Amino acid sequence: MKRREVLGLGITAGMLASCQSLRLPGTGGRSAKNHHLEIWWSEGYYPEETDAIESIVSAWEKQSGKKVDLKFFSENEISARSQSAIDGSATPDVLYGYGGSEITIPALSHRGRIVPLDDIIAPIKTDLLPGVVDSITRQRREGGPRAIYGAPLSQHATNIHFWRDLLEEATGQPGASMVPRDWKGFWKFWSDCQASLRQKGYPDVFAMALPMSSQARDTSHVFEFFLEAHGVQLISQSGQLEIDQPKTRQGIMDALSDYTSLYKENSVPPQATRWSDADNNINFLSSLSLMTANPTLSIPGSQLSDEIAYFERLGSIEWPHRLDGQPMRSITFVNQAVVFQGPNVKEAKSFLSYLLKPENLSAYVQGAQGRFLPVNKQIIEMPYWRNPKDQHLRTAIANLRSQRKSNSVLNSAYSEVLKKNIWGYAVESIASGSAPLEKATDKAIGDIKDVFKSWG
Amino acid sequence: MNPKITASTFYRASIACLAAAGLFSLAYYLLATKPLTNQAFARQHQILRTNQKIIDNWWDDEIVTIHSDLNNPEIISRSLLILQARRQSRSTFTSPLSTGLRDELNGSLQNRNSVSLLTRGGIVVFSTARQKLGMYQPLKNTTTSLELHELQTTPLNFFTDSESGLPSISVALPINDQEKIRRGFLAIDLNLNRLNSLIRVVPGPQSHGQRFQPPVHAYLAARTTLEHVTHIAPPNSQAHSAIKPHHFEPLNSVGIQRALEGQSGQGLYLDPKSRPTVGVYEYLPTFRTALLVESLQRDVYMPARRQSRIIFASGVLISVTLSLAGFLVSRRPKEPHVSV
Repeated sequence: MKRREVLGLGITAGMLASCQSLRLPGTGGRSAKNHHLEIWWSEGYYPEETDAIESIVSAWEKQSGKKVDLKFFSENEISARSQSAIDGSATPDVLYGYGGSEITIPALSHRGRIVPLDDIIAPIKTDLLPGVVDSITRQRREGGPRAIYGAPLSQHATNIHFWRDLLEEATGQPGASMVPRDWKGFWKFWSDCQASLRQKGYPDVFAMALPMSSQARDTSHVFEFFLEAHGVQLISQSGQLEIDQPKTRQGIMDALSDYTSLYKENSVPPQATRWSDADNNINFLSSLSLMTANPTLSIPGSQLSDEIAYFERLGSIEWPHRLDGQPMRSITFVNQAVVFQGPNVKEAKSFLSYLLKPENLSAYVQGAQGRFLPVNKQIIEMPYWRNPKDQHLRTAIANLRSQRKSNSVLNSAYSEVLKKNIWGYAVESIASGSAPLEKATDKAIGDIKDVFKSWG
Repeated sequence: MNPKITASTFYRASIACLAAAGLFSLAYYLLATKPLTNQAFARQHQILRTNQKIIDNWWDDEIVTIHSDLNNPEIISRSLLILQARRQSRSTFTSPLSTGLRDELNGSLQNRNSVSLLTRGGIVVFSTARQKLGMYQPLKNTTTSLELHELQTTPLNFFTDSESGLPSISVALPINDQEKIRRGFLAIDLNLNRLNSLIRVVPGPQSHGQRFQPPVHAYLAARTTLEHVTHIAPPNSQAHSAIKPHHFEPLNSVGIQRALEGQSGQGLYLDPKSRPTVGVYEYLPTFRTALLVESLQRDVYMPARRQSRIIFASGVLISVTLSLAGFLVSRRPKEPHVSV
């Protein structure tokens, strides 16, 4: 071999070696030599959440003798990083973000980027509240029995809140016992209250702060309850899309008509077709609407430090019964932490097992100040969650009595439907009058079928 | 006349003169712009420093006023009564308590759009601005909640007011009762329009001694969202209330981008209207805002352009004269050859 060739080979080898040590982006995972456990965590709304996770991590470090690199990110940033992880970018060992359970975790499991956690969840299955295990069990990428891909930390459903003082102003009676429990009567009641408030000198107060826009993911969350009320089953228990059936199409059309009619009859603020996720909270909390429906308990959570607003002015109420008279089944989402494929899977699982112990998890979930509900039977019986004065928590817990699996659990492809906010687009186009009901329904159905086809 | 000087000699000289004039004028322009750029930078830095001082003084004045308000027993006692009273969905704008508090605060409204009282949950129970009553003003992200001693050092959040659609900065300071229990917040919505009018120095073309002074435009820009950068107040001194959000056109330039990344510096770049500009920029951390002082290149380089035009015009004049001379020589009747 000539000297020049030897030199060339040497340089090439050197470059290859440096590429490996630099861990080029897109290769995913970390060097096996790096023993630090890398955790990416949503920074949370309240300092208590951050403090709780920091002290849990610190305690686990002492117990295990391992080092943890804990990084906090805003919810937007962690969603963006989760999305990049789906596309193959570098990943941590453990990741937790609020929005992950419904959108990114199904995609991460579908792409095989995260590992099943059945081994750490199996021993605590009986400690979890009903419905939690169902909400975290997904189809395996390679087929076979379904697997658990996330460690359940907390859960949330969509809740209904109202202003007690405005309601009293409208009806002349204290309390909410006069609110009808049947579906049609329930929504008509709030519209009637608006008319009454207008007569009593509240010209700018609307009945319902319901999101009607494609910008707000909340539109899909709330609309799914209308689908449930109309008995629409989009996906079978075996995960098959059933959207092609005439009965399903008619049900979707009825639900869309039902939801958007509230806007068309001026019971919803006109700006609702342009709202982002925060805007229905702001509109409602500004007393510009009498009631609202909102995923999570962030609305009462924002008033927790003001006893007058939290305990006296704000009210929460259970969902009305479905059109068939049966109790509404809540669609719950479980906030989950996931473990990525990589050299530290064993340590990552050990950390999550430690976090899931009730004494640790309770501090973390309580740190969110009631924004999310516990997933653990022992924690939910603690005095904080059973405060008899706190009707927001009581109602939210009552909403969990009857629940069904979310569609993204039945089939991971549905996470793409939520991500694309297909229902949001359909609702907005009907409410704003840019598309007739039938056309918007068929477009939504077509878009959903396309998503499922692309997921295979 | 020298028999060797012919018409073509004049024509050649004319062309050479024209080429030389072109080259000289270009060279002059290129050489003269550098000192003009430096002069412009020096003047802009001076204006920038002056503006910074104006902004610092404006904020210092406001801090003194806030201190004074929060140490005014009348303001605090009325505020506590309003915050602890039983609330309805809409507090009354004209109640004696509210009117009294408004009277106390009206004297210090110069740098403020409004002053409000917020519950601990961020609901407005009193305001000098009627339209804010009952509204929800989150105490995070939009409003900057801080303690009195943090006013001087804490960067303030810049955001778009959902009610007015205007870029805003609001600070909220806790109001505690005698037992040091937090009862609510005094929220101050700063008058950015006034700040903007203080710093917008736009002198017209003028001579300062022997030196030409190009017009200078100073302005403040900030991010209202991750992607949207705009003026901090309505441009062109338009009435505050008449401005709709969509009038706040997005702003973008190398200077704005660098300043909002926290850099200070100077450069030649395109301004937000894509006009070649000479500008200096500075990041103001307190307001998370970019302060820019800019002049259009066409104004800055006007003396060089004028001088190089004179050089070129002189060359053209000489060239034409030479061409004319060549023409006259070519038309001169030839002398008959006399042979002896």
